[in-house]
Amino acid sequence: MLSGEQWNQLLQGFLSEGRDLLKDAEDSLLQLETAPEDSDAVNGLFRAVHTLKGSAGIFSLTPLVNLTHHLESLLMQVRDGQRTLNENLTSLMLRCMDELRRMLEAVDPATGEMHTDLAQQALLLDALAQARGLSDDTPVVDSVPAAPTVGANAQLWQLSIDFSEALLRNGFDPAAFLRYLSRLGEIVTLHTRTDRLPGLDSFDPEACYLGFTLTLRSAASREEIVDVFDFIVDFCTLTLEPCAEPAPTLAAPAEKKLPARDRRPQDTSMVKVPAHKLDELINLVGELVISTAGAQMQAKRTGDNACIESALAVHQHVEQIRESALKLRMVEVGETFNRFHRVVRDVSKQLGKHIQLGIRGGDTELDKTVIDKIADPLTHLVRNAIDHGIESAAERLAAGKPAEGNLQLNAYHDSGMIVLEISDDGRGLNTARIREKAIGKGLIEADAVLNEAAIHRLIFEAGFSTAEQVSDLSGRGVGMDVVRSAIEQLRGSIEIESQQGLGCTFRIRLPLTLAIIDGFHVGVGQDSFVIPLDMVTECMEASAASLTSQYGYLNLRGTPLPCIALDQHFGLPASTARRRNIVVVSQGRQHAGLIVDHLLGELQTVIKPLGQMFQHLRGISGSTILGSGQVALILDVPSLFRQLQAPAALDVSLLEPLA
Amino acid sequence: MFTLTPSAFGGPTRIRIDGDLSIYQVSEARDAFVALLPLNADAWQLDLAGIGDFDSAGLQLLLVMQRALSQGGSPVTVVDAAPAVRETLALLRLESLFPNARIED
Repeated sequence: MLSGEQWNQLLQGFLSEGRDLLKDAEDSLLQLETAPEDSDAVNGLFRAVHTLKGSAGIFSLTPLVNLTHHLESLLMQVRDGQRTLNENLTSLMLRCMDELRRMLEAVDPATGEMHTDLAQQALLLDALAQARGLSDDTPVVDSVPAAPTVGANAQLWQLSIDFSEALLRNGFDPAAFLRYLSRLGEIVTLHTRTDRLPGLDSFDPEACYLGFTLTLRSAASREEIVDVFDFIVDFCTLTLEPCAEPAPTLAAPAEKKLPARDRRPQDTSMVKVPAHKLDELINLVGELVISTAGAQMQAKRTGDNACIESALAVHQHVEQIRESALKLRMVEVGETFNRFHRVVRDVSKQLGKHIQLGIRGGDTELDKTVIDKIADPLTHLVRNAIDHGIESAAERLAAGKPAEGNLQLNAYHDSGMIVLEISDDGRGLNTARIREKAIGKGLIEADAVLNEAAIHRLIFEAGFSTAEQVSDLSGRGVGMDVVRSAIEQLRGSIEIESQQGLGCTFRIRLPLTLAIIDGFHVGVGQDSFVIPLDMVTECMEASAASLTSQYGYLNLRGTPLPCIALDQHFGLPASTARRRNIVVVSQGRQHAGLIVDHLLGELQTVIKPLGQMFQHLRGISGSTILGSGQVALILDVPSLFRQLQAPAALDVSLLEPLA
Repeated sequence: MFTLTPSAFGGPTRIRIDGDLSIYQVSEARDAFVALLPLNADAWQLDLAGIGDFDSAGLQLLLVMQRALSQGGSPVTVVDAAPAVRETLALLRLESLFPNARIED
């Protein structure tokens, strides 16, 4: 018997697998809604529900098994073409999946007990039964499609199948395949092979020892017959050949062995690793990076060439290890994006709007931790865009836009950051209303002079809600400030680009990873700073003219470049260095120069988060330990940019009066 | 799960199975059956009328049980079978193994 701990691990495994399966099922279902003919999606959906049922059975989660069972029966009808998926059916299935998800969440991971709302479930079961046509088994309907298939061009197939022992444990029943096969045609002869059955002593009751040899008379093609066993390719050996009974058919390949890894090869080659183990690995790699830097410095100090060389080799390997370790955590953002199909479907239905969701750059990769943390803010922005951004069909038509709204999710890389965009072609932000509201809420003074971008940024202030009426989707005023702080916690930033009447784009910039970055090491007086290397565009010597003012501008090949002297900015003792340097950093289209004393070169930087006390420090995002053991502060370039802009924004608004 | 009615006056010993016999129960059922086995009988009767859910796993267990019982040379007969059992046997065309459970057409 299993020990308690093993049992618990299995249960945990089931719960996480169950969530994945439900997600798969939902994706397939939504896929089907757009492409009803997609047989892969039908099979995917069926497989997911079936597997869930099987696993739930192992843990005796009866209500789960019950609901999945009925869902599966309905799906079976869809798969067999007895029923087509319409909108109502899809909605019903989606509701079932929601309920299944609730059930999964209601399972106590410690005890495996589940407390569910049976009333809710009974409702769904009723609806499912109704959808299936009330009577549970409808043999009349079942046999109808089978009959005509045994028609003129039916031929005899010789089919031999051996099941692997794992079949039953995976929730499949060989008998069920026979039942399904008999829908394709008539099973003329059948021999159930039981010769592999061992004696009672060595008999494992949950292993499958059966095999079938049968002849089938059917008009179905080879593919159609093989497809019956599609779910269990990994668990059976199948040979299929035409028999020369009624009329010799054209020479088909004599035997088709199903390649065991034909389908979904990526699944079988995956290894699931608990996230905390990855974290441990990455922490260790981080320490390794620091200690290598130390070792390298010591080697240089000794001046022993062989020693320096091997330290360098170690350093290179560590760099490779670091890169591949970080890649382990990278996942495609597409998976997160795809779940918005559901959000968009539900929300737009609820509001009676027609909205098309477009996704681009789904294969852009991002650290798993970042993705997990960004999912909720993204959902909020998407809901907001649908609720507030996109107008109702009537309003859109009146404004001369197509009735169907467009929501676009984009992901791409830009100077070492990942950018996520949520754009809609709705009405855009209402600058005047936001201003009015902000004044009403006491967020700004009535006579405050703000440019449009600054007003738009007000929606991120706590307690701000612009909806005319509070709907149950958004507009509770708890959203946008939470969105902003979630993004800032990830060392990211968010910007708004809105055009009245044309649409609005929220652009989120996030660092690719939270743990280790390539940095550029600079020195100011006795202090060391690290600038994320991806943001550095060039370095140059500072002329005497650029050193005169704190927020000076520098002429960089004909364009003005705002500059910050780091010693003044951070209140350090004024630099006495005779020659100073400028590091040009960029973010998106913005550029700025940082005035420093020494350029000390590239280094791998393990980011150590700042302690609680320094959490509100502006311009610094973390610290790192150098090879010498000295601490260097990592510059938060986006926040430096914001500080640069703050006084500039005021200047601009003074020049051009608000409309 | 198993009810054993010992032989009376040299008649067959009857084993009656009640409840579901599917993948979820077969492990337990096998253990219960192994516990019964030390018993000896001149002839066995299997009463399958009380079986509820039945699947291929249940079928395998029945086959193994039948073989184990008949190993000592005692004949095994099936006296009755539930509809689910009959249906599965018919589907797999294994009626001959349990002659008395034949489906009446």
